[in-house]
Amino acid sequence: MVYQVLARKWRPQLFEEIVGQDHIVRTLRNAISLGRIAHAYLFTGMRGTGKTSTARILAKALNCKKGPTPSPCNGCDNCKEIMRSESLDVLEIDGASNRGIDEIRELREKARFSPVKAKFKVYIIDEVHMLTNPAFNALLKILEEPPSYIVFIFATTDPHKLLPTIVSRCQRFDFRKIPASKILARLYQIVEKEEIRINKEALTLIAEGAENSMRDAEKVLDQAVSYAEGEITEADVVNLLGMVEKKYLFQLTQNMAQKNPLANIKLINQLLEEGRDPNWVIKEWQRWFRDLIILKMGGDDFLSEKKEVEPQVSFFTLTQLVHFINLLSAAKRKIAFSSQPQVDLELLMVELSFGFEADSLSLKEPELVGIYQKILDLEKRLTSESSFAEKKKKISQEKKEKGYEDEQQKAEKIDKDNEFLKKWPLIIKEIEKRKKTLGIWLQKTSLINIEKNSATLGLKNGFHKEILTEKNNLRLINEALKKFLPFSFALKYVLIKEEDKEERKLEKSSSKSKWTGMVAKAIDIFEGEIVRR
Amino acid sequence: MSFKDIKGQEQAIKLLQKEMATSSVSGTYLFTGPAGVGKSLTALTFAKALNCEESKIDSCDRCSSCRKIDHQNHPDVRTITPEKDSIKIEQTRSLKREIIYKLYEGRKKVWIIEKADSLTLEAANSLLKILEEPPAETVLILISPAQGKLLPTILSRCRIIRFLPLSSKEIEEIIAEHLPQNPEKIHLLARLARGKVGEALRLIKEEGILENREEILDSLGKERKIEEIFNLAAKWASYNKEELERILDMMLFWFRDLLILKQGGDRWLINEDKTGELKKQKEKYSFLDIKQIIETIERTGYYLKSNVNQRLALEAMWLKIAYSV
Repeated sequence: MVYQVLARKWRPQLFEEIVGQDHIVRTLRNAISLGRIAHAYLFTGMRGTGKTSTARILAKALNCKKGPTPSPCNGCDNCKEIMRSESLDVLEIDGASNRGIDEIRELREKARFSPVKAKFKVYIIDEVHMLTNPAFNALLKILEEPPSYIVFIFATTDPHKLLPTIVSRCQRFDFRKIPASKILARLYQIVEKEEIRINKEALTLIAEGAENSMRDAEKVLDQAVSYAEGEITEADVVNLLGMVEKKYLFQLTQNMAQKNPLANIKLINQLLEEGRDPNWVIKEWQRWFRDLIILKMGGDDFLSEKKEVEPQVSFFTLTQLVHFINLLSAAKRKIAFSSQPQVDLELLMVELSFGFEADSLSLKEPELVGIYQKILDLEKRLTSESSFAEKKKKISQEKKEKGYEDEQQKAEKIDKDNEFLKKWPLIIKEIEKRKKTLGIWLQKTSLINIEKNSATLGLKNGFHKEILTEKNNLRLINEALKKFLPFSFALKYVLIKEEDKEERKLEKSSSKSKWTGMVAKAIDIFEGEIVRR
Repeated sequence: MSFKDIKGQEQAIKLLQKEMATSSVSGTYLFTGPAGVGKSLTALTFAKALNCEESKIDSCDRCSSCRKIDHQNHPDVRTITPEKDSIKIEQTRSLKREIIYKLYEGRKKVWIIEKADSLTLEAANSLLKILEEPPAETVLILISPAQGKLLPTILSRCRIIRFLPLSSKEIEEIIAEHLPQNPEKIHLLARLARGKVGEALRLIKEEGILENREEILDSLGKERKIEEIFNLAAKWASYNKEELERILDMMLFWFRDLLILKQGGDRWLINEDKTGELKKQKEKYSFLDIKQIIETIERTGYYLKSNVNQRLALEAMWLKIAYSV
């Protein structure tokens, strides 16, 4: 007999064998026994949850010689033909390869002929999300009112890519993710029948590592059979998939708590050299932190590893743990596209250790320092709790002082002038740091006048002004002013181009005056110039 | 070339050989691992072994079948490579048309899809059905550097064989075969090759790369004026993608070393020969600077792989690094 992979060999042939989709199986079986057969079904769900298998069983159930029956016999001609995919009345179409409108038109043509020997003509369109839009639209009419003998079954992992008009014409079934426990139960059956020697821990590991997909679990089991010498053990599965054992996760977390990124970098290098998959490191570590979070909140159920995780509960706060998980997610995305996952992981280790003390990061980040200072300032003010009475006193005092104001104002103005002149180059530099071009534009202005709370800058042309008064630039400038000057201060802009123009006009008229008579008139009319005599 | 000539992939090869011995060869494989560690070579040798007339689990390199595969004119062994930048649906359609034909002369039909990460979305989806239930006596081998770039539906259908980077010891041995009298250089090249045989061989063959490295690392340490940046970007834009990838990796390693130095570690540096210079540089950057720079370089690498204006991407990268905007 030809070798077949487990996933194909053990593809369910009866409704009873479908794992983890009881809600669907029950509905379909009842519908069949009641004779309430819809003409279009839509099966959606992630990979390896049984969409295609269910579609085929449904086709058999409808076309079995004894049928329609909820339990196809798998023995009659019709059933056998369907299982060998030779039936003329059950057509399985790959929607991803036959995705154009032409293929759908052809399908519509053929659909008009009644079935050859079975009761129903069943079209299974797999990967239906890849049909083009025109193709979908070509399907609409026949889908709404098909001939009585036709049943469409669509299967897809991406239902959101279907037109709503298609979805509304179908009975939709959402296949659930298969829980690890159910995968495990099915694996036990397979292992027993196939006489595969494998220990319980290894099998559990495979079921958990499959991430809710039956096919993935069967595939890994297949591989483990050829990988292992003799009985399959936990270590075999770990090596095969490049998983990371719990003890390493414990160590990584421990180093992190001790703020020792170097130790983690060393450990990561060692793990990668041993052939662990960087994705597993992140995935498993995320699970580790998830368990910590649950324990921290007092939850006890649905933990994968209570014993191992428990000693580390007190290391971190909840917010920190959430932060860690987010950092890990970000790193996961990066690694998917990175050419050097090792560097990403190393960076992650440092980042994670820094998770405790955000301020040590920012020592060189002026903006962050600024914000931090402001927060401290606000806190101080809040805690000093100056009472209303005090405030009132202050205000009345201020009123008394008003008498001095005029003199004060004068002095203040001079102060402000000086202050501004002193700080202006610094302000430009600060702006330059944040936006190079804006700084250069500011350098090109000339200072014309300084008033009480404003300064006037001369600009060369309207474009220049437009740039400086653009919304974002204005904001930048004002922020910089605020940062360096303790008082509010505004900038005004004046075009200084007029002067140039006048000068040029003067020049022109003076040059004009050299000419008299016709030439002068011509120059005047055409606003020309004498180029050569 | 037979399996025993492929260095450092013992685990993958053992797996394949065992499957051949127990005739449990699957119909679909995904060979994944970094570029230049021997995935394509193993795939081809696997194809030879499956069809070899003399040996059952290895290729003999003598029989007509093995020789035909070596000369790429075996009718049952085919390789699909990207047209321009991607593998298009026309290519996968013709694969599906031809793969159902009977075997011409071999025992197994082997189709190798190189750079499977460059399959377009349509092409990848059109493979799903055939990957799930390939015709009898057919082996489809997808080759891709990273799993993350493939559809989960594809991954779930393939038997995944992981190819690991070689250990530094293995790489050093390979380099030593080519450069027997230069232990200093062997050490350096092994670290730069990062476990990839292909890269190591290239480093040995092309002297220019090392000179280039000096120049690049030199430029990283210097303060740069705007004009210089633009000149540099213009120069680099003329390089091909592979060279650029290498340059970006070199930059990445430089900042990675800085990161580790800043943490106080001074072992495991990649640019060990430049430790002095690195130490001088390390005070110039804060941790955040380094993190941002590393991310910038990686993002640029990602952009360069898709169709962007190389020069603009490089200019933007340099500006970001130089002015940390």
